Amino acid sequence: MLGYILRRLLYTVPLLLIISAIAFGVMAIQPGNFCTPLRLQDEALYQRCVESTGLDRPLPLQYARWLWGILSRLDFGYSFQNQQPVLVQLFTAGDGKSGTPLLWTLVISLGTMILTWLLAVPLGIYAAIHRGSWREYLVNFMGFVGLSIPSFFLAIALLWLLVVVFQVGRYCWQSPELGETLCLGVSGLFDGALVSAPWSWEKFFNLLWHLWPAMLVIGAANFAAVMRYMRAELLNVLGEPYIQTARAKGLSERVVIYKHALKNALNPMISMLGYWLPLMFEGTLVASMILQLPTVERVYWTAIRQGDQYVILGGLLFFSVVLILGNLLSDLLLAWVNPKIRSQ
Amino acid sequence: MKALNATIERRPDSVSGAESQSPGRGLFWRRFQGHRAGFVFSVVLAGLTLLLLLGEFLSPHSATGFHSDAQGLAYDYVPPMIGWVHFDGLRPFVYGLRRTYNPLTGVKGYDEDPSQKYYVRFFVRGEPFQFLGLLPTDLHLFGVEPPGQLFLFGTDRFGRDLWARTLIGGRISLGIGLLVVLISLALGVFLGGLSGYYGSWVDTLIQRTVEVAMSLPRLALLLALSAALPPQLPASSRFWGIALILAVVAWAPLARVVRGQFLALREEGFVQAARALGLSDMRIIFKHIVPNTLSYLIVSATLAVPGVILLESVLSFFGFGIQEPLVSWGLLMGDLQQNFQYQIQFHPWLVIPGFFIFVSVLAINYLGDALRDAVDPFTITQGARNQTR
Amino acid sequence: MKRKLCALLVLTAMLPALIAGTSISMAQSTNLPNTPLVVSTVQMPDGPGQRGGTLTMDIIDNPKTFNPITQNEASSSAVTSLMNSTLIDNTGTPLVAESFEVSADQTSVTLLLRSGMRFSDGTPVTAEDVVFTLEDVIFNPQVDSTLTDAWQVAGLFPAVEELDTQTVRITAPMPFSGLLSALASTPILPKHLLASSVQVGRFNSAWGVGTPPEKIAGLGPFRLQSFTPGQQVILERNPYYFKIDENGVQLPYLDRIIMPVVTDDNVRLLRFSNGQTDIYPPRPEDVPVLRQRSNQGVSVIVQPAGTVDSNVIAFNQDSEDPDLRVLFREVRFRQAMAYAANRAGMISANLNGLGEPRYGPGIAATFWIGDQPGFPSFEFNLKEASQLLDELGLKVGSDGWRSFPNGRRVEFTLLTVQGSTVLTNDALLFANDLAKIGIKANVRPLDLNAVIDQLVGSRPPPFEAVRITITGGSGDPNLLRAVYQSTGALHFWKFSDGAGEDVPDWQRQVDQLLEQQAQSLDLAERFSLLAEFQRLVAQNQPMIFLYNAQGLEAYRADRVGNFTGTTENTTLLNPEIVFRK
Repeated sequence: MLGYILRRLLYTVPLLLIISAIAFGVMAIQPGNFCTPLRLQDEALYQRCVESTGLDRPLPLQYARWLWGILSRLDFGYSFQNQQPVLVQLFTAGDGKSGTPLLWTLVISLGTMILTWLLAVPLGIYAAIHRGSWREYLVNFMGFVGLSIPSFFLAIALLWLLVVVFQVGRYCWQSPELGETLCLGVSGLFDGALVSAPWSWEKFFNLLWHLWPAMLVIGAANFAAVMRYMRAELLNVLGEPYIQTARAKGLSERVVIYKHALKNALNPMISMLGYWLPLMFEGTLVASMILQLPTVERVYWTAIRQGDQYVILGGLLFFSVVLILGNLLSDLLLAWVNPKIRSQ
Repeated sequence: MKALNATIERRPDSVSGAESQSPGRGLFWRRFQGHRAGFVFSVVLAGLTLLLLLGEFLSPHSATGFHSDAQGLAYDYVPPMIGWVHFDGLRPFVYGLRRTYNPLTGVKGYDEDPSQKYYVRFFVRGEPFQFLGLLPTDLHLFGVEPPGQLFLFGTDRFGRDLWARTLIGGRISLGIGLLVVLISLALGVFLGGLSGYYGSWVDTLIQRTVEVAMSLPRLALLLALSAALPPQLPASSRFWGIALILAVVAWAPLARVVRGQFLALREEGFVQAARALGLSDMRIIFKHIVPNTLSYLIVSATLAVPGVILLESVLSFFGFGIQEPLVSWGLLMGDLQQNFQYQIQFHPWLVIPGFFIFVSVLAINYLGDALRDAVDPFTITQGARNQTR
Repeated sequence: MKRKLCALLVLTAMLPALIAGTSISMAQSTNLPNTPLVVSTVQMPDGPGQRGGTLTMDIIDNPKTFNPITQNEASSSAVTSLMNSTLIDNTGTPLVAESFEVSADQTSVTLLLRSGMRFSDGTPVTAEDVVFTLEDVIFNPQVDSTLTDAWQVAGLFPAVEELDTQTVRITAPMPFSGLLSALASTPILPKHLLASSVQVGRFNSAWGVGTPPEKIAGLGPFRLQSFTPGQQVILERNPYYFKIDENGVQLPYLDRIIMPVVTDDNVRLLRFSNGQTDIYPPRPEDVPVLRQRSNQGVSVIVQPAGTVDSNVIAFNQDSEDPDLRVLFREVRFRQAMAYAANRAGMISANLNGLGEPRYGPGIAATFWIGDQPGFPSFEFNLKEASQLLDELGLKVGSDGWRSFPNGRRVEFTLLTVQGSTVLTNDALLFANDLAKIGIKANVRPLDLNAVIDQLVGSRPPPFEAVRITITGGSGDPNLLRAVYQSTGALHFWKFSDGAGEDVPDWQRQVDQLLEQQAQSLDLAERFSLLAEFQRLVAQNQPMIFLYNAQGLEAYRADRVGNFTGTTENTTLLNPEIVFRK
């Protein structure tokens, strides 16, 4: 097993090399570069910028230097805009009180995933048990609705509802932490100066208040798939002969479903966890931009808008790694729940 | 993001012979009708498609025309007049428009001017267009007597007719969904087929390519690629450029599905038999394998369409997708969200194209779902499981 | 006139110092300089406020640096401008300097610093810091700063000498009218924190966003408390700030300013509507939304339209297409285009009616003559436009489009910036009106970088027509030279003028006028030169001028006192007197 994992990990190295080359190629065909807007100020300033950032070098040389930096000393380049290393910019900027982009990306992606599953799995079971009834139709419909609303629209409409219709800003409290009155806000992760306040229950609940819209927006798209998948798995298992046998033995439907069927239906579900992980990260991109979440995705998006080359490349590599790891995780889980595959 | 529902993939180990056989036509139809919601939404989808196809004929105005009154003042943000159509017995008519002004907010508006009355006439001559893209004509289903105006869904900031824009924009949105899936399908069938049928190093090579393609973050890639479309590309060709870019990120999962199918069918008795008979590879692929996977491909393709439609709308939302003067639902939504609070509070009808995105994506999802159930009730599990890439 | 102006400056310099002299005893805090600057109640719209409280205003992006010298965009300057102060301000009031004196020949200025003045970290300010800021930083060729140009006269920098620990003399090599405005735009840096980075040649990346707050100090009303990338900047009061109000209360009034980073326009508006922020620079279409909330303490200020920026449609007079090149160089064609621009329609569609039409180039308000009677104004008139086009021999064909005498259809591409709906909307409206007079304009939105490449990336540039905004920055007429002088780096609409081929007479006149006004120290003379320049440009329409938006501000009048607006919608004006009600 360990050998298998090692082999798979080793195999990602050439994969990432190819991806890095493609990413660099995509960068190269972009119109202009980081320095281009300076041309509207002063051509000399533009020339200086191009020289100091090394953007005037031939592309293969730029690529080779970047790659060599990574391979030799794990240096992913630096942000032209902020003059700091890419790794700091993308992942670790910030402190323990306010969190870092990587932390928030993980919290939001994994949190959404867990929440989605906690909701979708029981509903999927519910739909399977009530197959063909209006209840199933309702659950189904809810799922498809989530799937059919563009996430950017859902995000902005949600904020609008909170502010204009529900007027959440009316709900205020006296903050023991800051000693001033705070009111419920929208977007971002914390209200007022709580961002840099030390951790407390107040801060934690404030965080939860800001997290749920994000999780709703990201989760809405994936909820339906998980739910329908659960429903289908359970239906499939319920059709198996051994369930028929259990029923014939006179076991109650409850015992049949929860004791025998569910266990077997959940196994393949677990193996799918890894596939969902990258989707969560992708969903976070749109949610971060509108809900102003300080995630890796947002740093990446800012970099795209500014043409901050090495941050974009670093971000692309990061998302690829997430995808690859997700797939690997899935395969491992599959092997774990399915001994037949393990033996191969 | 939303393309979770994009494909049905079957792992080679989970494909058994019995499953891959297409059901008989009658059985298929009965099962399809059995999926009630799916059936209803298919009818909705068919109606919608008809509406979009006949777009210019059904709207008295063009999608890009700026409408203004006799003084040259734009008919901007006219509210939907669909509720302002009155009946004189059986003859529908509308009143003239009168401008209003809200002094508190400074927002202009319109109401009906009962002193002017314009009858709606049918089969009138209006702006020329190409009927179904083929037949040049200027016949419109309805229109009102000249100084009168009939904007069924209201107008936007320039006085462009939202009804016409929704219909014409839908054609691009749905068209791009269909086109992208067809391109990906073609690519998928070609590469996946090659990979699955021939195996060995061809398979390895193509599999690795698919893997690389699937390891690239899609949305990130999309944004980057669409910014790189050559500036010389005229706006009308941008449609094809965007379609091609979307296809670049959408083909890989479909290729995987096809490979899985080919891999399984290759070992089937009838293919082995055809080989033994010395039939050419091409003949085996197109006469024997493809027809057997067709139903499956159709389902996968159907389920991939909504994802593409949503992706297009996301792209347009960020200003990277379809550009003016072309129209798409995503573009209309992007326009709405520029000043979301203002538009939603004062001109809520601009959200109508969003409703169309929602309904069409919902309908296609249900259609795909029904098709899947109809093709093979046993695969319900496999289909759902493998929705994840 | 010259002498009078100079005397006036010195007088205003003395006045606050005199008042300050009487108030020394009132300033009890040892954190104040010996002679603090008194802000008179007259300058406070809501009168003196009370100390304490927090102000929240969103910034549109992360600051990229906290270095006030190398910063070159709004989200950084929104922060650094609150943290730094200059020796004098642009009205000639001494700030960090207690007083100053300009020599009679306008070549040198002697500044006396406030004694007991400290940086926000408590370190005293000395003449050394001024010398360091100018000689080692601004005049340093390795430092990338937009301030450098302002200090140059004929390519030379002034000499800076330290007379004693409190006195500095700056001497220009020749009479230099820009000396005081250069001083007014240059923040004074603490030598003790930055000297080392200059020595190792890394000043450009000094005070980056990762710098710990205690390593950053300035003379502004606020200092950095914390910065969390992607979340917010928090500024706290500078306890050593040098201004007091008439009651002797040390400014600023506010304890803190919280600046959350919010990149989405809609979300900023929602946050302001929700009461999360106190100040919000609205877009024109936000105004009706905010007026609905006027009973909730929201106050909207609508100011007259600016005069500095130019929203234009420009035609490339060096187009590679021979027919178009000849056409675009024809002044009657450009006048016809100016007639065809429906400015009222654009203002209504884009700005919700909150704008004013413009017929000539943007320039600082003091020089602007665009509203004078008799100013050449080609108001929207399709009939006139059509007539001019007929005169040019562009006949309308049977299909409704005009064609050149050689039979080719008159058709060009009008570029706009992708994602900028305002620009694209203007272009669409313009193209729609052009279609009515038989000219086919194809609107094509492109990525911003692609547009820049098309405009200035190569010579001659490939674009045919473009809808862009030329920002005038501070409004300094000298900035216009880059765009309107034939040798200017941004003379993108006809680079060949710089090479001297086929330069029309009016262009030569413009070149001369701009040159003359740059050398003139006389305000009245400059005014008449620049008036002539504006008339010439408006008459010949090298670009089609469209409109300017009105300045808009919104703030919570129930919470914020002494709000006097922002510059460019990002930088809070007079932050030290703003207080919390």
